[in-house]
Amino acid sequence: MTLLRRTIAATGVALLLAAGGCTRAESTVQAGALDVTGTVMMDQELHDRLPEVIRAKGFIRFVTDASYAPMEYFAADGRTIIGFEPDLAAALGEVLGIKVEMVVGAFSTALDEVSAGAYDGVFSSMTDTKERQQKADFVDYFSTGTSILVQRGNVKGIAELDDLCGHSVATEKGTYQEQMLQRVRKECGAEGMRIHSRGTNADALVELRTGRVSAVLQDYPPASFLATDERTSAFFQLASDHQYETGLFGIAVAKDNTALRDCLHAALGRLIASGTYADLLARWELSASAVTEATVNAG
Amino acid sequence: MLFRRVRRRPPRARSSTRLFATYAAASLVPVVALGALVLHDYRHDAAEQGRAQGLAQAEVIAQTAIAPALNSGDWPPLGGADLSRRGLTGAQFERMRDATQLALYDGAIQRLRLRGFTGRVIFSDDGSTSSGVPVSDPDFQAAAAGQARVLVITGRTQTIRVMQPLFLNTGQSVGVLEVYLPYQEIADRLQAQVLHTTRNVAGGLAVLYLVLGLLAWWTTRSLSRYAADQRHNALHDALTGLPNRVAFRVWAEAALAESLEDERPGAVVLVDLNRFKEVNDTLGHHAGDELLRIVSDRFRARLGEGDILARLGGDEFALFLPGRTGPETVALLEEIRDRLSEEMVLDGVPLSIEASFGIALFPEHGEHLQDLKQRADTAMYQGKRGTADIVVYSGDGISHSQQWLVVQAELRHALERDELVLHYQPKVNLADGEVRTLEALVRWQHPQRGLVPPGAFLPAAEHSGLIVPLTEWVLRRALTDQVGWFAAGQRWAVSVNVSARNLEVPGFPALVASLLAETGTPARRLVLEVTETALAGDEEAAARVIAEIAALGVGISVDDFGAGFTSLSHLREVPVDEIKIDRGFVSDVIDDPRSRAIVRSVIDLAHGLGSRATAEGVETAEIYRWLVDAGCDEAQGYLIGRPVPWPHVSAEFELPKTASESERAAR
Repeated sequence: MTLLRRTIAATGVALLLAAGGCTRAESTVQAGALDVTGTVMMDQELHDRLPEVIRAKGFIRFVTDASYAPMEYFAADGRTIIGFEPDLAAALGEVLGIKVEMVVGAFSTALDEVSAGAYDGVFSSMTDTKERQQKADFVDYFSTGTSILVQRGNVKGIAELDDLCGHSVATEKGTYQEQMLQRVRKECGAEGMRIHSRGTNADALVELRTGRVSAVLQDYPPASFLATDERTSAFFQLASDHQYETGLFGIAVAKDNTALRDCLHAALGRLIASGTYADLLARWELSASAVTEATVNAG
Repeated sequence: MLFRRVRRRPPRARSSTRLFATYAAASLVPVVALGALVLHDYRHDAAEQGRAQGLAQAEVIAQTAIAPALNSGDWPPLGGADLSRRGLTGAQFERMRDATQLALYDGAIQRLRLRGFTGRVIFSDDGSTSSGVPVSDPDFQAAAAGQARVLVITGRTQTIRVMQPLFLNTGQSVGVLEVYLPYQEIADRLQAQVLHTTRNVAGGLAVLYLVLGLLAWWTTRSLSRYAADQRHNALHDALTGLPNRVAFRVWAEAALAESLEDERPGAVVLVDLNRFKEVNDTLGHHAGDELLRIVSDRFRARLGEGDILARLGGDEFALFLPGRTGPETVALLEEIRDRLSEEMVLDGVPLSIEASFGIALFPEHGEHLQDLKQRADTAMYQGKRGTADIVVYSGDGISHSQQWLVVQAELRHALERDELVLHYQPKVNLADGEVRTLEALVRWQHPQRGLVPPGAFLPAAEHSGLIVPLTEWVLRRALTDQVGWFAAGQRWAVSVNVSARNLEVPGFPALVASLLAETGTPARRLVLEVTETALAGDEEAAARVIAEIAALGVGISVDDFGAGFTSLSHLREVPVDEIKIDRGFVSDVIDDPRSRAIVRSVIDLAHGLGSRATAEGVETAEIYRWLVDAGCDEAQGYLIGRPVPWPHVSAEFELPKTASESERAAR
């Protein structure tokens, strides 16, 4: 199918060239598709619809907490951010014809900083919730639930969310999982639950690794990554394969920046349609979490 | 060794010392290379190990002392900014100082700096902010890119410098840790280890080399001894230690070439011991071997430097005597002969040995060793057949040796193809002229050369041993022919010449007997003529064989009596029916009173022994008459009849007139 599309695209370009009416806008009607060299093609129209400010500065800057492999994390050099989200961000940038930067920041304060205009958006495995929609609009790109991560061997015998009562549980500050834990704690009654909200996901995992907490609540993809990666699988496992409260990850954009939101929405739609999105998911073994269409504030 | 040469030594293998030196040098190379390689690798590994140790230490410091301090406090993670920009909080700074100060005070860490990517010093052990590795340093750049680097600095003492990237627990790199650790102790320990290993390796290799060397020495020594033995054995006769046939050819050829170049004369001599076989047979091989050793020693005693003595095999010896003229050579050989014939005692039996010497001189008899040997051989055989024991080759008469080979080959075919024919010469009774006996004489009807006279091929046959089948053929044919003339009514006996060689062949008497039986011939009608030289050889054996034949009833005739060399004692031992007086005496009886005396004596001798006296070579009536007067019994010669096929033999010989009759006729 991809081959067919490429053929059509190439033929279209060739015909246009032959007609002598070649302009950049016309030649990219197939935006979001791939060119003959496998590169995502820019859509001039979408580019033109980008907010003036962004076009002027020449880049879109997202904030991310890069401690969430395989979604976003640091490479071995400690400087480069890699993962599915950086790849998807780059692909979006290609379609929009603009550079996309990923900047490291604290997850818990990320939405506020976007509102304050420090960043153009949050691209950090952020679950699209009604609550958060108060602060920002979400372009949803990923569907997943929450998993319980425990020490390898699961000596505490944790299988369900209810089992967490009476234990210490760590999670990243400001995450959807923090809210989930608070809800579970209410049901625990006298046993209670100690919730350790940490500045980064890595801090929470350090506490699980060193036995200060019995479990860490986090999204299924990074939890699964930790439980299977050869460097970490000796220390972590999933309490069960169950994913709780399945929801959507969204790119958070300031509510007053609808133009950017719509551009990202359209670009994502192009990537989904062209197969690039599925390809990127497959590279990170995340195909199970694919969404079928780009949505806004669907969480 | 007798044989010493000034030039052209026989090729020698490299001496064992030189071979060993080569071995030793060759094996030293890999041993030293191995040692160097092992030590180099070990040294390298040791240094690497030291650096790895420094690196590991720095990493532990970074993770246990620095990172917790950086992660402490409730501060937001960095937003793309590194330590250069952010610095440390007061609490973090204090915590870091607490975590490192004891190690710094104790000297476990010599220096420690925490630096941002711009190079700014965020924290240092002594509070200074201006020192440290320049940002442009490759090690700093590598650490900023996430790669730890280590460097050993040799100053007053050795120090190891580690440039280590600083990671937060999120995996984010925020700066570079520059830490200096004491390395002297590690270096000293590694140095000691290297030294220890060096000693062990060097010692081990030295022992190995020594063992290899000893093995090589032992092996080369054995090899060279073995090779020398092999070489010696290949060129020497084991029994006498003399050079063998091969060595003689090689060395004599070289010496001959030298002599010819220098235009010096010399001689090649072949020596054959007489009656050696007898010693071997009667006293055993042990005595034969001893005899050969004694003979070799006696030879040696007379030879000089440059002379070559070799044993060609059996009782055959060869001498190469350079720098001597013919007479000088003969004089030397006479000395040797005298020395050889001195009595020796073998197994308690005193005996003396005699030898035949054949001499070929160079350059007059040839310039090639092969020719010279052949000629010496010819001369030696001539000596054996005659009376002289030292014979110099003379071209006359026996220069046919090369031709002989051809004749021998052809004669072999002739026997197979039946090209030989027998002619017969009558022997008559002198008194009445009646033919008594036909002597069978062989002729060769050569397909190309026509009728070949016996003188042209019999010597060759005699020399090659072909005479044995030839004689047998003659014997068989003669007896068959006799059957023929019997049928024609003639009662002639037949006489056949027998070579000395025939007498040596075992079973010869039996052959004669069986041939007689086959043809149904009475034994008395066969006479075997034996030359007296046949008797002169191995007399006892020959006498025994002759006696056996005589016992059959066959007549025995001594041919050419007086021409050769016979001890009269032979005649006492052999039953002789006829003595044939050599033509040399017979032809002279008219003119030479001495010949007359001899012929008369032989006739008397024959009669005394109970034998007939037969004169050979009777060519004139005068001689015939004289012989009748002298009392000779029978005669043979051209006067009476030439050799012809038997049907042409005239049955009657008309007696020449006596002297008085011829006078009467003249009147």
